[in-house]
Amino acid sequence: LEELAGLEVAMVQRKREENLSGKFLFWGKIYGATQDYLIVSVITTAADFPEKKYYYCTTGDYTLRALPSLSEDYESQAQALSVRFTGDPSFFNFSGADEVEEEDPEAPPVERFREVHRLSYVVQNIDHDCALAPKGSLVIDAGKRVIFNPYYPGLSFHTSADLRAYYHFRMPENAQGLAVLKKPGIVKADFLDCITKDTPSDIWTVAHDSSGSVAYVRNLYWQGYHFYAAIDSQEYGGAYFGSGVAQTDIAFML
Amino acid sequence: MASAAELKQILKQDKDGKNLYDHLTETVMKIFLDRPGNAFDMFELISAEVKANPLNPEMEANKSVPPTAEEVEKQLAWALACSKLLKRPDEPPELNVRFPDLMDDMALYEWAGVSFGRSDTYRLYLSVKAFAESLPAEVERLRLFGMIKTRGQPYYVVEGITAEDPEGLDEMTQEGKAGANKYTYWVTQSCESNSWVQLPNVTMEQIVAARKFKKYMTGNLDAPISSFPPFPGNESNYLRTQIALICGATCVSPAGYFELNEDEDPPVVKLAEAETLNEAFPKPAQELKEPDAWVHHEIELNAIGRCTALPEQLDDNGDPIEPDEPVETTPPLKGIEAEQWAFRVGPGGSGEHAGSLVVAKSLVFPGALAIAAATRFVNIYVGYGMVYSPTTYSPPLPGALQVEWVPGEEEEPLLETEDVRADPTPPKEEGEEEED
Repeated sequence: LEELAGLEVAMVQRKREENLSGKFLFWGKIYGATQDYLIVSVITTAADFPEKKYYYCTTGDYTLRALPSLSEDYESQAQALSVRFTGDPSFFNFSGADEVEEEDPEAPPVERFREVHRLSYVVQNIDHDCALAPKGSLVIDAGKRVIFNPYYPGLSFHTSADLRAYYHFRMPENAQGLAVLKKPGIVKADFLDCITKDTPSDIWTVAHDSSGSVAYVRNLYWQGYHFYAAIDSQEYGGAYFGSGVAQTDIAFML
Repeated sequence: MASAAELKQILKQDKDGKNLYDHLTETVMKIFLDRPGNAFDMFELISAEVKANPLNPEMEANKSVPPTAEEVEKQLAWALACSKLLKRPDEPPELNVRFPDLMDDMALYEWAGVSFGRSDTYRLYLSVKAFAESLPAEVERLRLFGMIKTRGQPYYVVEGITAEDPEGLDEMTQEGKAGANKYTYWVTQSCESNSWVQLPNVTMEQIVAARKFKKYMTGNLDAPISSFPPFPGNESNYLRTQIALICGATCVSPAGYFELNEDEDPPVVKLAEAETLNEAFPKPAQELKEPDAWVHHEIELNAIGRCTALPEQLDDNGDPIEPDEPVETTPPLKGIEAEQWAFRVGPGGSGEHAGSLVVAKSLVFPGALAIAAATRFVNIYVGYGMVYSPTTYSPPLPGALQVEWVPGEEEEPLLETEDVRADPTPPKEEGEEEED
């Protein structure tokens, strides 16, 4: 409850400050030892593909800050880490070195690989692997832009139980999809990556709730990513609640 | 320049019953009806949509697929089950077993970030209540253990005190009511069902084996568990084992809530006296944020899978056999390890006050929570049932091959004895020879 109140305020503030016009969506929550991170994504319809920017805030302080973009060096450092998040965005002592020089509080902070960079890497990774859109909700319009389909009729009961009805909400990576984006004329073919092509193939599970009116899709590799799609309606959405650490033992667990 | 009539003629050129004039009319009408803001960009899409679903004044733009028989059946079954739950019984039921007031607890869960949804929680409450009314009084009370997520449908688990030990209980392999099987668990897979399946009791071997691997459950209680080392049992046994591990490791309560009953031997944990409770509680949130303020009120399972010590085995003379490596059992009401728990206060930040409730989150079994507020506390688990391990799992190596027996230095090697040729004819008795 407290988080909701804080987030609402923060979102409005950020929206006005940067004059953003896109859709604000709650992306998820990453647990840390002392505090948790709440992440919000903004989807703006830019050229070619909707662009997503991420903002984060901690449960201690509800002002949204933009997640920084990463250099390659930082990315490789982030990839190597698999311990839990501590909750302090300026934390940098990952290797557990005993002697850490005291940072002079007066001097500007040293540019180092900090937890906030790792957070940025993890959020982008999770989103790349997990963000979903149901079939038919994203289409290419005449201007060759990918947009949300205003006539999206929703999934039927049967289609929603099938994993093939869900696609990744990201720039398509399969060759066919990319070619389709470049072709002139109206395109009705599927161009996004289908989630059944993810390896290993069982990391997604789909189930209906007991009333049969909503379908839930969950990811078992990023344990904690949930996606829901209401049947016969335009509503869908997903969020991640977890520790931000992938389940690397998944090969043994299926 | 063609006249208007000729233009209309061209447009009305019919091809299989479709003509451009009608299509253009329909497209413009649809734009009129929907008034999209960016009709220019959307024009092609609108046109495609109109071609797919012809605008018909009787039928709305959304032509919906009629629901299939399967879907209808499923939804009807759900509605029936719910209405059965919601129906008031004719006579008030006997109340032998206390059931949890989930609506009250729901407020506590929400501060910790756990919620099943208001309506679902209410239906779960009704289901648990109906189940409680059908149980014998020895069970005393039910507690919602939590929800275990699987690859299919989740399991909702309730816990009750074991009524009596099964017959023929072998203490060497399995503990009875005094130990790991103090509680019995029932599971169901949907909030509104009224069929709760009892889980089998857990054995020591299962606990030891389950700690060695991690597996996702499939959501089907009879599914086999294919793992290495092999697990003795199917998914219902594995589920029970994981529940036992979670319960032993993560059921904590604020210190002072339970105390040891010294009268019995071994000392038994029981609820503290009302006076002591009133004095000690409510504790301020500041105090509860420290790990010192919490204790385990369930005994953790030790390395061989027991809560209590192994019963003494008597050898032939009647002397007790000392086991080679006696395994320690943990004492009851142990304090919690600080590194295994993280604490949150709700409301926190600027809303924090002395009466805030404190949530203890387990870092060992992510998803296990203990929430303390004023004079109450609850434990709940929502998760996949797995331990958190910072390192990647590598399966245990297979056992070493057994070596052949090699004789010691002084011993003679084993040799096959020489074949003895024996005369197979029976010895002839003197003077007697039977001739057939």
